[in-house]
Amino acid sequence: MTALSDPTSAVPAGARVTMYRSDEEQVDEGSAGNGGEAAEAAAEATASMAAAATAPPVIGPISPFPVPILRKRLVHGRYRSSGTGYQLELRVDVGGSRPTNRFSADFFNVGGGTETYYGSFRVDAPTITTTATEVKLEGLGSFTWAAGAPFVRVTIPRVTIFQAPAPATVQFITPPSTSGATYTCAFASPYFRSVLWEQDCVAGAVPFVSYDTTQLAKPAGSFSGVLDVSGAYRLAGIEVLPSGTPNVIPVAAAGADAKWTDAELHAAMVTNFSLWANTPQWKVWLLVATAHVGGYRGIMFDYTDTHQRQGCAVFYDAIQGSAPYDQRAQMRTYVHELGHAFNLLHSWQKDLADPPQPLGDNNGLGDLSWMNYTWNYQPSSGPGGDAAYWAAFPFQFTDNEVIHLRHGLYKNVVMGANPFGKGAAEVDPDLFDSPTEDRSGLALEVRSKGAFAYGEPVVVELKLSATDTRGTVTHGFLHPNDDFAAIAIRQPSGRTVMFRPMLRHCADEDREIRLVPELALYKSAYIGHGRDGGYFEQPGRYAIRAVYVAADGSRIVSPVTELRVRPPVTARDEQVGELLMGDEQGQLLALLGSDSEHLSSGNAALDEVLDKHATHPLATFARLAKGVNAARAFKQLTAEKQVTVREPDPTGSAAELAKVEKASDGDAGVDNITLNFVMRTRARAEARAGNTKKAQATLDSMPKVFKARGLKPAVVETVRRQAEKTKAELLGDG
Amino acid sequence: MTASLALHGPAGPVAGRPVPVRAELRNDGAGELWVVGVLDGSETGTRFPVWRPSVRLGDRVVAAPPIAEDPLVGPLRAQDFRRLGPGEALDPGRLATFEVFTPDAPGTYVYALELSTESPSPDAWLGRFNQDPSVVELVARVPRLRLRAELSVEVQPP
Repeated sequence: MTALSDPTSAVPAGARVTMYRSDEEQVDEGSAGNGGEAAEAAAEATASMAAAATAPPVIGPISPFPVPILRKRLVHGRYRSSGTGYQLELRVDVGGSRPTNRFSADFFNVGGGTETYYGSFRVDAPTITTTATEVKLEGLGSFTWAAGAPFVRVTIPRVTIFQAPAPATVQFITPPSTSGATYTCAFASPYFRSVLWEQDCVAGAVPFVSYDTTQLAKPAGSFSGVLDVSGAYRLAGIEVLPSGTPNVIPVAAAGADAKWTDAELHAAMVTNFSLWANTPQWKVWLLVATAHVGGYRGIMFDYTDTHQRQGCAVFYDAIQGSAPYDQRAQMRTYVHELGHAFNLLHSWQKDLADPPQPLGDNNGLGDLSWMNYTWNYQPSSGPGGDAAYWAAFPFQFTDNEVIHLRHGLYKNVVMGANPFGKGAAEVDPDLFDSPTEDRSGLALEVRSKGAFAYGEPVVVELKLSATDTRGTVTHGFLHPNDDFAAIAIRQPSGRTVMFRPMLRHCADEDREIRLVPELALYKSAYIGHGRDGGYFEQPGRYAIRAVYVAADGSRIVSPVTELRVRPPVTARDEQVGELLMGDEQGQLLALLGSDSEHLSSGNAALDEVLDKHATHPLATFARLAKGVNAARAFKQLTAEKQVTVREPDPTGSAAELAKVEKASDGDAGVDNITLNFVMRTRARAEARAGNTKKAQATLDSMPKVFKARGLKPAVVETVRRQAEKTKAELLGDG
Repeated sequence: MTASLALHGPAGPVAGRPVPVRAELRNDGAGELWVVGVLDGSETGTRFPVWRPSVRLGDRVVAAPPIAEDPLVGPLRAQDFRRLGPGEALDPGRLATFEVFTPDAPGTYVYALELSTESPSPDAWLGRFNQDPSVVELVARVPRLRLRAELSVEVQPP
């Protein structure tokens, strides 16, 4: 099983994650992040195939001619590691057609029944060393996360064209020389990326097939011969594989006017694209339609929803014609619209991407690209316009576009990921992509109040449940303080950050649980403050998403939950909010109180809330921290290395927690799980103070309190059992 | 609000070369005038403001924007809005049709340009990606108008 770790870092032996598969014995799943055993097996198989290809030569008479030097295989193309844990898909771009002399890769987390994208990196200017026996590329990578071992070395043995392609070994290094993870990636394809392309056609429209580039004048050195849409992408190193059964769509799908709107096109895609899914995937749909209401030649119409760039269309009425000029223009429109699906902007729009990209010649107007408009073409010198474009166009994308297609960060290129025009993503949300497959039998939810007051501690409830009626065995480390759960927060600015807890608990114990559909696991987590400070300090809308890595390695991702932080209504609201939002106050709320002198100003702020604003609704949270802390002893080590112990104050604790309970009515105060904890802590304090009757009454009241809060009977029953258990601990069975 | 649109060209252009015709939008009124120049998609009428150029030779249109390739026009930005004081003028920017059209024979060519801000809704001004929707409020500052200018150009033999 893999924790949420950095795939570039080797996991030290002492930090190996040991989890259970069954209750008989613990099974060492190996270090996180490699999954190399299967890859090594594949490498051995490759070597054995290579050996077969180079079987012992038959010895014959010595030739009077020099022995020919066997040509070596090119090493460019796509490689992939295998096994569970992290898999690496590597793209090596040296040699071959239009080499860009760089390499890039994507990490996928494979475990249980899921495969999830993790992150990408690219090395734009590697040092390339080619010897007779190997090609080595190395350089500092640009990663989509803060990689622990960011220097990357790729080594590929050179083999002859009669041997099977050799695997690539990818070694991550923390400068200057500390080894990180190593991956062995088997050769997968000479193409850097492969896309399945499904094309459907409206009744009456005739799809483009191919164009012979020798039919009309073309620039010297450009592609000569029959070219189709797939061929145009192959020239860029991208495999566009026709797939699926072409459907003929009745023209009625476009409405009474027989012209297509974007909405009709999208609906047609959802209905007819057999590979369609609302998830990032290397699959694209093209509809050969009749006409668009806007009169366009083509469109990439999928630019408004959550998973964009999955479909495009060309309009036969606008582009039809069998003459070579028409066929050539048709091919350009097909390749152009599919280019938008790869997130390529028009040539003159590159600087409008997010983040901006450099413009080509004459602000992009002079680009000789499938993504330019022929009539808009204007190089910085010489004539412009349609005729000039075709006289110079070599049937290819520009160098920068080729780099995007081959090495653009996964989410910037793959259909269904980043929106059209967005080339940048803050990185950690990548971790939270919905799995492309999910057979885990588990579901995760994040719940919270819809709105929080300014400065109110944000607490969410995590619910892990079984979707398999037979039940699912997993572990109980659901809290984000554990290694196997994490929470991402999208702030009102659009920035997405990871919640990094103040304390992280090591999952070094068995906590096996069996979930069935009617019995879920719940955890309450205060996520308002962590190692990065406060996460909810600005009023506005926030989106929350959680991920849990199950015992079998499946990555369970929750749907997105939205919450709002309201702006303060009164000056007093603002004052109390500010008093609760400081760094030390955040730590005190996360720790549920502390006597530490390092947090003295935070405690002073909580005291001020209780002294001056005792009736304010947010005072409940100061009371919670103070009340829980008062219930326990607090040890401090003095400068003189003496341990001092502040004894518990059970009476004071019980009094504060009783007020918390009273204030937590309806949507106000603390959440259900925290209230459960508060009531049992209060009962313990009361018992410790010698008031057993009060403790018993507090525990006896719990089922009624939670029933009144509208909880389901099964949950109320769980609360009753917890209260009985606490009662037995405190008061004995009698 | 009073505004005028004019086209200006050189004297004595010769066939075989594009004619550098430029446009000028002038505020002829006493108050300020908010305008937006040529944007990505303006020339094909894909978005507002529409700046539609054409060139005629006799009764024949010899140059005009083709039908739009697709509607994926770039965002409208706050910096695209220009405020013209009384008497101030704006060159609206590049018009590809004029820039690339090359008269291949001598004659009297009529260059024409039509400006329209009469959009059915402010959304018709917006881009299709990376669009800040708050910019739509600025569209209301641009007066709804339709202007047309023509310029006859005598193209000489080369």
